[in-house]
Amino acid sequence: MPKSKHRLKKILKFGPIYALTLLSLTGYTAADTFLVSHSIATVKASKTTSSTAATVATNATSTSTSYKDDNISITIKTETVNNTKVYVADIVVSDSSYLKSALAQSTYGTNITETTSDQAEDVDAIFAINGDYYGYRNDGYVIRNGTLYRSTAGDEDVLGIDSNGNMASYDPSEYTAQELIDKGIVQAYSFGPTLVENGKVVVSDSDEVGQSMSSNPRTAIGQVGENHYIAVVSDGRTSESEGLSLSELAQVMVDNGATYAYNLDGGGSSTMVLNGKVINNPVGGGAGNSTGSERAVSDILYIGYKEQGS
Amino acid sequence: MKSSVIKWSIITVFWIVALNIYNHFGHGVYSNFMNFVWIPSAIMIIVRLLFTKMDRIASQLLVASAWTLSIGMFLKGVFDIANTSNNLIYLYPFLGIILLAGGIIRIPYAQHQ
Repeated sequence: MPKSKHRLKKILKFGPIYALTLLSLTGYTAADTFLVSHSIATVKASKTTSSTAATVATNATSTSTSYKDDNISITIKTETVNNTKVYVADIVVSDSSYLKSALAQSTYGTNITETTSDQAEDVDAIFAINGDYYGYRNDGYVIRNGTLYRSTAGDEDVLGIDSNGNMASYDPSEYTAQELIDKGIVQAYSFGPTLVENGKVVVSDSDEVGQSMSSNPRTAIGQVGENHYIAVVSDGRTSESEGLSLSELAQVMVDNGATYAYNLDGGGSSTMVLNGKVINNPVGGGAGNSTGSERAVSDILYIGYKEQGS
Repeated sequence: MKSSVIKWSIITVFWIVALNIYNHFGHGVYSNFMNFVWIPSAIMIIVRLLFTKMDRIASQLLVASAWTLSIGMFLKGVFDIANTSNNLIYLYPFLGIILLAGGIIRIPYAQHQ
């Protein structure tokens, strides 16, 4: 075969071969990001259990919107803010260690998910909200119940909860994950932004998560005082509820007495569970975002007696 | 040359339609990578208009570069909107730029022939 003809044949083959390579790379990258589970660690017994928190109260009373026993008091009220249904949970605990975290399937990793209500059931949670969906990203500190799972810094401020149950934001460019552990942080969530500090709204009307500039379902956690917390979940993306902007969410927090508040994963992930029942109208069901359909997420933040891995 | 310009115009329109469909279901979340996904194919229209004489190697390298960059930008846009990431995404600009450089180097060679 003449040399030029042989060369031409080679060139003609480059197109289809490269196209196939590109398609394979794209398929693999998409599957690796959205589908393939990577288990990295199994949740072990917590390092934060206090002797007080180990005792389960027996005289509990509960309704569809409240729970009360000797150690834990939770009351959920529903408000309408800007044509949006907002669920505000007022939580008072006798010991901060009743505020805990759980990971889906008791495993740290990527694409390992369970719905908030299933995770809540796994740990006998009295009350639960979705967390920061850490498994959807490659960065952002992950410290749960005193164990450091991920030390790669993200861009947003980190919510740190110390062993006394106090919440504050930390700039990951100023603190390493280990430094946060050394400071006594037992839970670190990386989503944000910080909504309220010292009782004042610290997000502007134009602040948003990533490139988002619209109203959405939201989840946020805040602190009113010692062992006194506020969790807010709003509906959104439905004809009944438009959703909240971050500044509106922050204002709800301040109006309910929060001195500090932090935005967690929202959108289809936003879910609030009390006594095993979903309180809000999640829109996480994928196609069509049908109301009432929960999205499976990486983690939850909950109030309860049982600890994951114990 | 004319058929190439028409082909890349259709591809550019395809990307514009694709990004608009994706943005429609994006709940108001946007990504600049997604918004500008049509740029590599639009550049291919200009390249085809400027360099009418191009050999097969240069052409294939530039075509591969345009598709690599466009698909990479679209995928990065999807990841941005979903608020997720994957380190493999950096392969796309790496490959795209190498192919682009190869194509650009090859263009004058064809002009001399």
